[in-house]
This record gives sequence, C-alpha cells and structure tokens, in this order.
Amino acid sequence: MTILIRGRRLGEAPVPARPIRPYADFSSHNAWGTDHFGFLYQGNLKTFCAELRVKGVTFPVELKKGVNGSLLCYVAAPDGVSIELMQRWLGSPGPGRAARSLPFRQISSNSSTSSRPSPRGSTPEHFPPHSSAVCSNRDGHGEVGTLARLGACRAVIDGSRDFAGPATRPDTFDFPRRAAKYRIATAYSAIASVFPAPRDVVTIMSLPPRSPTSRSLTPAGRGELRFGAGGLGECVSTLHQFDAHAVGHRDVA
Amino acid sequence: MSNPAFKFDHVHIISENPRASADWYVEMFGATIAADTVARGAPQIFVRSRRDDDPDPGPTAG
Repeated sequence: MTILIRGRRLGEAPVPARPIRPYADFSSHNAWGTDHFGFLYQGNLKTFCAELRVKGVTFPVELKKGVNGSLLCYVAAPDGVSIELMQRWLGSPGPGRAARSLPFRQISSNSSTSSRPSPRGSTPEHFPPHSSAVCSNRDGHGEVGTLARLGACRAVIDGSRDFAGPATRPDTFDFPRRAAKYRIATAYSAIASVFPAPRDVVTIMSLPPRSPTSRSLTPAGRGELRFGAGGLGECVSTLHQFDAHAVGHRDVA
Repeated sequence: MSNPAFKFDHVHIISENPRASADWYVEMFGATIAADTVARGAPQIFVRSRRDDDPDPGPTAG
C-alpha cells in the first residue's frame, strides 16, 4: 500500500484534524469523511505496540479485543491521522472438521463443550468465537476459559489433564510426566495435521518450566516452547512459530 | 469491493511537515520511501509498506 504524504498546495488552507475521542464502545474523529485507516499486523501486536510505545508513540485507543475476537488499537500518527492496528484470527478450518480429524477422543469443538459446567465459574461461552479446537477434559474448562479471556486461542492443549492415558486426579497435577509428554506431542501432531495454516497454540501443563522434559516437548522442527508465569498455579507454555510459520504468540502471564 | 476492476491503491495525507511524517512511518512501521517528489509546488512523498506483492507506486494526480 502506498501512503502519499504531501504538503500544502497553493491556495489551500488546511484546518487541523479533529482529535479522536472515545464513545460508548468505539472511537472516532467525529467528522464526516475518512476517519482512519487500518493495518493488519501479522505477528504479536502486543509486543509490537510495546515497541512503538518505547519510541514515543501514543495510543488514543489502547490494545483491546474487538467484537470478533481480534486485537486492535489506534495509533496517533502525525497530522492528526489515526491508524488502527489489528491482529486478526488466523482463519479457521471449522470446528466440525477439527472435531472429526483430531485423533483423540477428548477433542471437542466449542459447541460440544457447551453443555459442561465450569468448575471455576468460567463457562464455555468464554471460548473465543473462532476457537476451533479445545483439547481438554474433565475439569479443564476453568483454565480454558481463563485463557480465552486473555486472548484468542486457535487451539488449547491441556496437558495437565489426561487426554487418553490413565486417569489422574483432577485436583492435582501429579500425573506421570511420560504420559504428559506423550499427550502433548500427540496433540501437536494432531493439530498440525488438521490445520495446515499457521496457528496459535497455547499449552497448559504442570511440568516445571525449563525442565529438560518440558524442553523436549517441542516436536523437532516444529517451533519453540517458551514458558511464562501462568495463572492458576500452573506453568503455561506458549508455542512460537508452530510448524515453521510465523504466528503471533500469546502472553498469558 | 467485489468488482475486480478496482484495487485499493493509496491513502493521501496532507501534512504540515511531509518529510517528518514520512520518516515517522519509516521508523514506526518499517515503511520505505519510494519517491520524494514535488507536485504542484508542494513536497509529495510516497511511502510504501514492505509487502512484496504491492506494486510500485505509479504517478498519481492526488
């Protein structure tokens, strides 16, 4: 896209642009005509905005989630111009396809999880609208709901619960590490087989961060696992550049 | 716009300081200055995003 920036021409007497101002659930310059223009940012918009802020950029609209689950913010550009930055969902193959294709029985689409009560007060309605696969079982919905509120998740792998292995106590995280490794690796492979496009994957697991076992969970050539401070007393890992594609990572701290 | 005859081409900004504004887009968004010209007695700078599939900016009457 080309942005043509030019000075005042002979005979013109431009007036300053109106400042952008917030309304009930939106912002505008409150003037007829072009209000702002938008860029789709294909990466971690939160990180990018932090970098802009360091450079002195101001945000008349801070980063927030839009009505369709996308992240957005408004940047104050020179000349009174407002620029909307968006981080959009990365497309969806559709929940039906995901539910049919993933090869372990606990995988479920949003609709099929809706009848489950949440043990921590978060309901499946908190799932983002484009969340196409939620790997969870038993009492994992509290965590899933929390993550969904923090940001949009294409897929959530709950490695702290038993997907297909032996039953574990739902109120503790003392599951066999070997089983957890198997489940998460299986889930990665399953998701990779279903979603050919880049995607965000958030993994919940209770292994200690930076442990050798945790590091080994990253499938070879598939990306990088990083650990942050998760809520709910768990370690939360975020997968970057899953399947060799650049995807936005999610800060869940 | 579903009519294939149309393709979005440019945003036109009237600036008090075109050079400073252009530099802002370069610094903040990694844009490039494709052309620095004068038109109708006023500076006119073409700033481009770095998408490879964007065509080169052609002359525009603005």
